[in-house]
This record gives sequence, C-alpha cells and structure tokens, in this order.
Amino acid sequence: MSALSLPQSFPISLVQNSQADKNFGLSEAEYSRLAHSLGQGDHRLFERVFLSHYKECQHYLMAKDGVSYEEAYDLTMDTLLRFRDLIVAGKISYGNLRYLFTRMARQAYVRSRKKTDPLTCLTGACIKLSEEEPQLSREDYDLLSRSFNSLGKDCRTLLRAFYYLQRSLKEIATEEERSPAAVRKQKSRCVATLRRYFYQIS
Amino acid sequence: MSTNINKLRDPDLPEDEQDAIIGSFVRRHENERLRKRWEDILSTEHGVSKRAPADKRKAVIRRIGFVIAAIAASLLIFLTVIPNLGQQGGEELLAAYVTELNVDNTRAGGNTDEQVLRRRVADAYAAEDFPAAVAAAETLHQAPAATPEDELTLGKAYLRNGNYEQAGQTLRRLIGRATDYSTEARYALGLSLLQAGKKAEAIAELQRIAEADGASVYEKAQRLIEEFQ
Repeated sequence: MSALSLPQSFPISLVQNSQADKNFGLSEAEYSRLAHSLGQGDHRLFERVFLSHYKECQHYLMAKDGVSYEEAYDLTMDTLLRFRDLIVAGKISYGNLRYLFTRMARQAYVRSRKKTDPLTCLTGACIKLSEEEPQLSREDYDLLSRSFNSLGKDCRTLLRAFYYLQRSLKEIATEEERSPAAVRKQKSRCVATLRRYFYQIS
Repeated sequence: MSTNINKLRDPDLPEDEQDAIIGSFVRRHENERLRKRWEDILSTEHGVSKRAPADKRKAVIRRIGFVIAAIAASLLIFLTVIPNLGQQGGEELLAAYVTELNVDNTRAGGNTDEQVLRRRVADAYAAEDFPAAVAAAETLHQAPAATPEDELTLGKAYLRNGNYEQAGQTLRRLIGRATDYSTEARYALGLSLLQAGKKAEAIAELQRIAEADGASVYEKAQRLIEEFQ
C-alpha cells in the first residue's frame, strides 16, 4: 500500500504482516523521500503519514497502559516530535517503524512515571530515546522567543537549519554557494545579535 | 541538565555552551510551532483533540468500575467453574465458558454516534439481550470510526446470540488483520466452533494460542483443549 493512499484508520499493532504494514504503509523508497524532505524542513509527507495514525497510537496507549485520553494525546505528540528528530538525525532506519514508534510512545509513558531513561533496541541497534537538553524556564524561553522573532529572516533561517534541521555549516554553505567561513561568520553574528536582544529585554 | 540562562550575558561564554543553550532553545521553539500546527491539523482534518477535564474524571470512574466488575467476574468463574471441571459434561462446561465472554466497552465514553452505540451494545450485552446487542454491534461495525475492538464485540455478540456461522466469519476476518485483538478473537472463535459442533477445528484454533499471547487466555484455551480433546 502506498503512503499516498493510506486509509484514515489503520490499526497499530506489534504484529503486522507485510513490510509496508510494519512501516506505516511506506515503502523503503517512500521512507527515504520522507526523511529527505524532513531534512529540508518540509513536513508535509511526514504529517500525511503519521497524523493519520495518531488516533490509533493514542488508543493503543490507552488500551495497553491504561493511560488517560489526554495523557495519551500528549505522549503521542511528544513521541511524534521525538520521532521526527531521530529521522532527521539519521538514527532511524527503515525496517519496523510501527514497532519502534509504539515502543517509544510506551517508553515515554514509563519515563513520565519517573522511571529510568530507557534505551530501545531494534535489530541490534540501540537508540537513546531522549537527549539531555539544557532546561530553560518558561520566562527565559519567552524572552528568547521574543528575541528570536526580532531577528532578520536570514538569521532565523540559518539558525533553524543549523540547530533544528541539524545541517552542518558546510552543507548550508554548499547549498547557498557560499564559503563555509562566510556562513560561520554569519552564524556567529546571528547568535551575537540574539544574545544582545535577549540582554536588552531581560 | 540544568542551566543558568544568565550565562548568555557572559561575553566569555565558551562556544560549545552557547551552542547547547541556543540549540536547545531553537529546537524547543520549532517543536512548539510544530506542535501547534499538528494540533490544528489533528483537530480540523482528523477530528482528534483533547478532551475536557470533566470527561477525564468520568473515564477514571468508569475504569475503576470496570476493574471491580472484572475482579468480581473472575472470582465468580473461579468459584463456580473450576471446582466442577471434572464433574461437568462438555456442554455445561462450554456454556460456562461462553457465558464468561464479556465485551470490554473500553471506549464507551463520550457522545459521538459510535460511543453511543458502544454503550448500547455493552448495556444490551450485560442485560443478556443478545439480539439487541447484535443489532447495535452490526450498526456500530458499519460506522466509519469502527475499530478492531468493535469487530471483536460483534463477533462475541454473534456467538452469544447463537449465530455461530456469522461469529466465525467475523472473528476469522479480525484474526486475519493481525490486530491487538487477534488472540482474544481466536479464543472466541474456538468457543464458537465448539458450540457449532466443529470440535477438531476448534481444538486446532485453540492450540494456536501460545503462552506468549497472554497467560490468562492461554490457560483458558488449554483447559478447553484438555476437556474436549
């Protein structure tokens, strides 16, 4: 079944028949295309595939772990965001995406119950499900958001490409037909401006 | 990892620490944008949104009620069926096993058409009005948002109503789709085939239930196999 003709309701299960079933209806080539488009900041195919399975995953958590509707909604959303991160970082390979996704969602539930930070393993490769990130308070986050939104479009695009889409300065330079040194300087200027704005409003 | 945001004011902040703080912020900023966008898409295109807190409370109460009912039913089965295993005839034993089949009704909250139908099926089933349970379960099964669990409910309703042929068809279809309800469907199919007098087929189906599929259903299947083999 092609990802472009996915039904709205498709049961999530740890037991699936075909390779496509195990991968949310995606063929390997479609998954490669999805991963590539995510790396370019284009979420449309990812959304088409994964949001159509959202309700199933949410109900799966409710049925398996007795999670409330609202908590299952949030856990599924958190897992989806983390899944996107891992695909962009190249840490997820085509194979059994459905199993990995449901496993991550259930482990997110375990983690939310303050148990150990788990690893999940699939065909021998282990993936750490959460990275340690510096924790920003809501107030600091809001101040940085205001500062970030005050930056010029070029700066915001560059910082998004580097920090969020996880592209190297060299890759960005190649695509923009500029030297890596010029891009590095621009990034330094953008960060310095962001810090200055933050300092001024805080 | 905790951080002091005031470090951003330090002109001598090392680049790796600066990258960690700014990177963390940008990722969170972009994820919050994406989260909002997806919440909108889910709500408008897929009909999925968060429930009001009042519904959550009802769900908790319903779940507690369900757990209490399940414990009571298990105790009843334990006290009545198991001590008489060696004394009862096959038909009596089978009748007891079939009676023990319940519908879970785990998604019966809310007020959508499907949820209203689920409640109707569960109520009719609990009242042992199986023709009404079948009628409601058939309507529910035709609904666009019907789930594999609803299909299992339909199969059980057919079985309790004595429609063994239709029960078999429904349960086999569900087993073929490899959902999370396959094992329970296979167990119900075994009972249905026994009721229809197809003992060999029934035993074959029950033998396909492995211990890894769930200790409880496996033990029940083994008990039936021993009794009817």
